[in-house]
Amino acid sequence: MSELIRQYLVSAIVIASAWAPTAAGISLIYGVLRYPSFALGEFMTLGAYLTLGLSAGLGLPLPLSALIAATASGFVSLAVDQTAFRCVRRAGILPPILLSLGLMLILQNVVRAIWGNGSWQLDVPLARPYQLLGFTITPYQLITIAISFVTVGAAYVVLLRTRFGKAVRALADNPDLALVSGIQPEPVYAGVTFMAGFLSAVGGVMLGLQSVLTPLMGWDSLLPAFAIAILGGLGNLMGAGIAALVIGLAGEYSLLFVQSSYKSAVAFVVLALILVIRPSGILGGRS
Amino acid sequence: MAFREGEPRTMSRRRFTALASASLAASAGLASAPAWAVGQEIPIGALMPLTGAGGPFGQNMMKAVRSAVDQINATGGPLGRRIRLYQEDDQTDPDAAVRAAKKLIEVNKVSAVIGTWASGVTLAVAPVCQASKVVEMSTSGATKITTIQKQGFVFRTEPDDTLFGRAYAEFAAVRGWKRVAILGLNVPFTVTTVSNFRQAFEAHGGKVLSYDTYNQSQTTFRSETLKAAQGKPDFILVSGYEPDVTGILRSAYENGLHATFLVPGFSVSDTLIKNAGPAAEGLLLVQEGVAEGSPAYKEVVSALGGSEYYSFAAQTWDQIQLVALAIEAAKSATGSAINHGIHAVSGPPGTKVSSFAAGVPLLRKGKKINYEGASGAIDFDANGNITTANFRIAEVRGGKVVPVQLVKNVHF
Repeated sequence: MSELIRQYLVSAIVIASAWAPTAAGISLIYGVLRYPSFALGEFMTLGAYLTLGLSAGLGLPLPLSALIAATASGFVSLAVDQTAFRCVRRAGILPPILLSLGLMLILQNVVRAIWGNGSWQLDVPLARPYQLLGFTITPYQLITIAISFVTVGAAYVVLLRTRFGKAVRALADNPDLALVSGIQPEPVYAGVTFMAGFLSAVGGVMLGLQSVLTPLMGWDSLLPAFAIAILGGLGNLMGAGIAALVIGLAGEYSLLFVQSSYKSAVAFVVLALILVIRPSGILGGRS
Repeated sequence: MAFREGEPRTMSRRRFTALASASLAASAGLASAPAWAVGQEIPIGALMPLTGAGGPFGQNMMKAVRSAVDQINATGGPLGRRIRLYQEDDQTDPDAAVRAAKKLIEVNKVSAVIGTWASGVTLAVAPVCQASKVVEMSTSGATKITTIQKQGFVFRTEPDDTLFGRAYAEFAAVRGWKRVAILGLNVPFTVTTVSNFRQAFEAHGGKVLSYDTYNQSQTTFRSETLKAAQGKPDFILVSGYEPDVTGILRSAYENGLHATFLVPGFSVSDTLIKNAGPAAEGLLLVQEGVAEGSPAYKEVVSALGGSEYYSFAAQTWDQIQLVALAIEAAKSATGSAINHGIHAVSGPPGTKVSSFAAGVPLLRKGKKINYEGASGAIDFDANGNITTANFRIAEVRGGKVVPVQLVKNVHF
């Protein structure tokens, strides 16, 4: 039992690492554009499959494929935002929600049309694990944790330290005030949607490293990612990181008491309990 | 659109000439048949998954039926009438399957539809067939289908999930395994197979160390696999589909575990073996059996001309033979006649026959027959389920599926 308790920690951190970037993307879009984007799960799928196409199809090295795939996903996200979503900017919350649902279905079916309904595997050799301070962990799990930490961390630093970040935070805090102080909103929206697409795709690649690629992989991660974004406090990247860990830990350790099929239910119970105490999420307010 | 007996969708002139002369030759053949043998062709529908998840199986299933129909027609056909086969793709999708079944029944006036593969498809098509008193023959395993079968007309040549569960337990007993951990995808077939496995396994003195179900939406399996392996079970039984079984095998490998996995054959394909790579080595599969070494199965293999394991194609081969024999036995080609006829020609008592050609002379002499086919003995119970089934255990070795053992005569 104590062995399991130790090993579950690794499982929790790994799955949290795969979910955190997408949750950060959801958080960002909600913070600035004020709508929940249901399409971001599919950007995970897109990122993973593009990486597959570039590495297995064109023979590029995996890290380069992942970088190109994430960038491309970012641009897809940006392009859709600047066309479809831009038309409904001032139409309230419902039209962009519906648009994101439509985009979700389109992306999922494009992936099905190109790669089929079957399962695929990124071309990484299966590795036997290291023993690290008593934890059993594989190289790719370490890489997943590191990359997720670096990507979400970098996004956080961008928001905190750059002029663009300042504009993002200003728009998120008080759009009217930001506008009268001369901030051009469209470039900010563009930057934010690019970041969200990029982050989600990175999450997708990380998830792909840990399991098989199926057209439903993003959809299956959408609920946990939303739970994490809400728990972290919408618009708060640091909160998303911490919340990912909380949801991951709750899910994995629930296995000690209940069947694995209740994993996500347990995570949502934890979400509900925390929101009762802290209604605006773990780190409240905004980044 | 439907297309007949291997006809391509667009017909070339040469193809037309060939067909025309073939049908001329066939009518010449008919002329030499007994005098009472005049009559029209008997329309039979073949509804199989040529695309979708069942696609890899459906192609061979259809090929087997086409070549069986050729053989049956070459002997003159049931009641001296030729069988005319209408082929439809169910796309492994219940909606598409129902549309195709309606077309077969309403437009082509078939009296039997054979070959539905996915349980969801069978469950959707069965009521359509029953409403028109058309026989449906399926290769699906879900126990839930039995509820529908109680209204008649629906036969299954695939072992019910119940039998799968017992086959797992019998194999474990052969190996002397006493301790198991179970991981199961949270779907109906897991509930049925696992409860039947458990009952039989515990009756043999086995002990279930842990049983965890997971949802289809689960993407990683690290903790689940660690938990299953914790008490050092003799084997880990996974009742799931391809993506989750792949994930579990990879997790086990990446956790440095050396466990023996036993999984249903339908969860393992070439894709799984490729995706799981070294993690699939030593994986044990329980596959629905065929009557290996039987004359009927040899014919299926030679008709398909390959070295694969043709369990579903063997079943559809048997289905069309049974339908043809049933028509002969019932002296009528209506759905209701076939429904009664199948019971009459499939089980004991009666002389064992393994083809339509061997059965017809006996039936015409008024003798009873018992068809034993390419997939097994095929004796149906009152609901239309096979009462005993054979299974084959295979192992993944060097990236190939290698047979290791047969588990015979698993009973309801």
